[in-house]
Amino acid sequence: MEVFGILWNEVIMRPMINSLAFLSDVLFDNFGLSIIVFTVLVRFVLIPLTIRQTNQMRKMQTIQPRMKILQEKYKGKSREDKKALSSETMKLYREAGINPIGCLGPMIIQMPIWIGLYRAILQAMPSTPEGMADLANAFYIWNPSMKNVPIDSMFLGVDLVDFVQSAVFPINYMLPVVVGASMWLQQKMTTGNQKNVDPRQAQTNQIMLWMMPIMFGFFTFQFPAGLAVYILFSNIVGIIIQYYVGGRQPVVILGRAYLGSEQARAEILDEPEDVTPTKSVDTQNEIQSGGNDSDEQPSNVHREDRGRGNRRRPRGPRRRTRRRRN
Amino acid sequence: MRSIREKISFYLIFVLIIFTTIGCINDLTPSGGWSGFIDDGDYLYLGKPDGQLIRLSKNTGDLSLEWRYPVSEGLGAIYGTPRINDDTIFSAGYNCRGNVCNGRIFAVDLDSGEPLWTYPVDTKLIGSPGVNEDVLVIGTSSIGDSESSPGYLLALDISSESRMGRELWRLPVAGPIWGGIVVEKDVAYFGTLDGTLYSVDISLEKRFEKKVEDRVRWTFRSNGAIAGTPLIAGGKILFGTFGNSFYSLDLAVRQTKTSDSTLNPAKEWIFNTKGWVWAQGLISENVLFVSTLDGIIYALDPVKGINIWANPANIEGQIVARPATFESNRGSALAVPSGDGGIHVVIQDTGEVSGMFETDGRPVKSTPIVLENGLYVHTVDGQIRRYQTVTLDLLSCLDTMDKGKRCD
Repeated sequence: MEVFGILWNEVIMRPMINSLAFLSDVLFDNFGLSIIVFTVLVRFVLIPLTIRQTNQMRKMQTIQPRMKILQEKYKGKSREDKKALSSETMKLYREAGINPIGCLGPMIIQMPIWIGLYRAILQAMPSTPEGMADLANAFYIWNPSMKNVPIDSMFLGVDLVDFVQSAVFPINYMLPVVVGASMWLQQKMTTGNQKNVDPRQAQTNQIMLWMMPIMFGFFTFQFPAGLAVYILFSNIVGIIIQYYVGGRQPVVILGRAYLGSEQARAEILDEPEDVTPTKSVDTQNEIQSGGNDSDEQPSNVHREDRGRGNRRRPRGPRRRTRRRRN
Repeated sequence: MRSIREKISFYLIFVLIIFTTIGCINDLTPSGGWSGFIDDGDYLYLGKPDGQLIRLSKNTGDLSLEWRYPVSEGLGAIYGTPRINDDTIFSAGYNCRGNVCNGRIFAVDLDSGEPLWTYPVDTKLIGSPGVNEDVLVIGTSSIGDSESSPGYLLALDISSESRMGRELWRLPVAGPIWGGIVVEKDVAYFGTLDGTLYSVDISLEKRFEKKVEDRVRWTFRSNGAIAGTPLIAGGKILFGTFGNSFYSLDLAVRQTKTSDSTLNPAKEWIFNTKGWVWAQGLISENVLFVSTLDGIIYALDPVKGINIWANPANIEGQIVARPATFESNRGSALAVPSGDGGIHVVIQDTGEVSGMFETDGRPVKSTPIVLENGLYVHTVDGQIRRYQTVTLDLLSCLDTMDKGKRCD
């Protein structure tokens, strides 16, 4: 346990505290700017993970019809049926290049960063003598910003260590709303449209789409304002990253949600599943022949399934051919 | 994650972890003070870690269980050393719940332990108060709501029974005051966390009644936060900062410059240390000892500010409180309290670390006191330990947090 504590302190906490203090020093003694810049830097470092997570989720969507077929085929409750379903599902994942916990991996890696960051925010601005003594131990001896302690916790009239609910009106209400809204938008862009998703999966996604933002918006009242700033800018950066990775334009999404007209709904329904350029490779054949380990999953597989319903494809001899798609 | 239940469970656990972590860390509650001793002949007085003022008999070595304030539960934390004036002892403590802090300044009869007055104030009270015959002054952080100044020097009347404990004035200052207040005649000296050293007139003169800011005689802007208590000796004021420095200012020179931050090189100096200086300086046998938070002790010439030892002494742990001096078997020595546990013995002539009074790893962040019957130490977890100064052996130990039960 002690080893874990030392590792946590030396690998996560001390680098973060020193970075935040150094950035504050460089950015005109402004700790709010320091949090924002640090958040942006962390999110950009984690871009590969974010891209991987997004691609994993998209792949999951593309194999949903085949998942449904398997579930129908093995829907008995006997042990053999469950075992067979599990085995076939894993085989399908392997063929499609999906890691079953792929969507979790990035989040698990980010969690210690998130927890460490907001602990670092509060440790960098101690409010007790013990906290101040601990902060002295946290600084690297060569860090020039240690001479500028205590760090000014005010940012745009808000005390970054104080609860959001204690902030002045209207910031005490605006901040939770903006945090929740940005989280919703990021979720929306990540999950995409639910047209070809398994109904249960779609239902889950809908719950997550609304539940997490509302919960975080509510909890933000009880968070220190510095943490709320961090979450907000983390979401904003996430939206920007998602725009370039997933091609889900936030303005389009917001506009269409706002319009709510039949035309907008029709446009959403007809909107292509994957707006990235598709490869002219017979991906279906590649899956049959043993899978494609690349993270790039062309969408022509999904387009084919759309027209064929639940019909099982005959397993012919394995061959690699190129078929033109019009 | 394949099922709805698994996903929802995961997200709920995730949110719970975040919420729990937030709940654990965003708390201003002090984890216990580190009050030092004050000696009044037959008794030693100090604040317990939970914020209760108690006394210890020097003759019997036992706590006076009936003498304590508050009687039921403590105030939260008492960090400062109490002050005695005539037959009254003064102290202050505070506690915080969430981000709301409640402090209390109080006066207790020295003999009976009966409270004479209390003054509640919504702020953190960390440093020791300063007293003269008429006035008690204490430093605070911001008081009450967000419109408050970041810190105040608060003055209470202690001149007559009828006005005891009444607020006289409060002077807004540029930063929170965490250090103790030093009072010389009618002038108070203290530092703030924004790095400003103040000299303030605390007399009862009527000319200050219109504008409290007129009480400020001079200020000095240093290079870092001042969290400790200044020392006044030989016409100088000496203090350390978080800018890794220790200053010596001449009081007569400062009197001519109301707010000048340049040093008079003939009479004033600054010494650069390797770490933050929180502990008060100590002058013994014409040598100034400066202690830092990274465990280094410097011996300086108090007039010129230059090193006397070939190498500074180095101990394990932070030095938050001023060392005490005593006669060891190798001559004059310093008893240096360590935040990592133990009281290190440092020979004054050479800076050699020659031994340690063992505290079983218990941190010590207050100044020990040396009496005829031994060296007394107050550990952060509330033990009072008495040692033989020559052999360094533990003579007695009692646990103030367990009704004075023996712990040796």
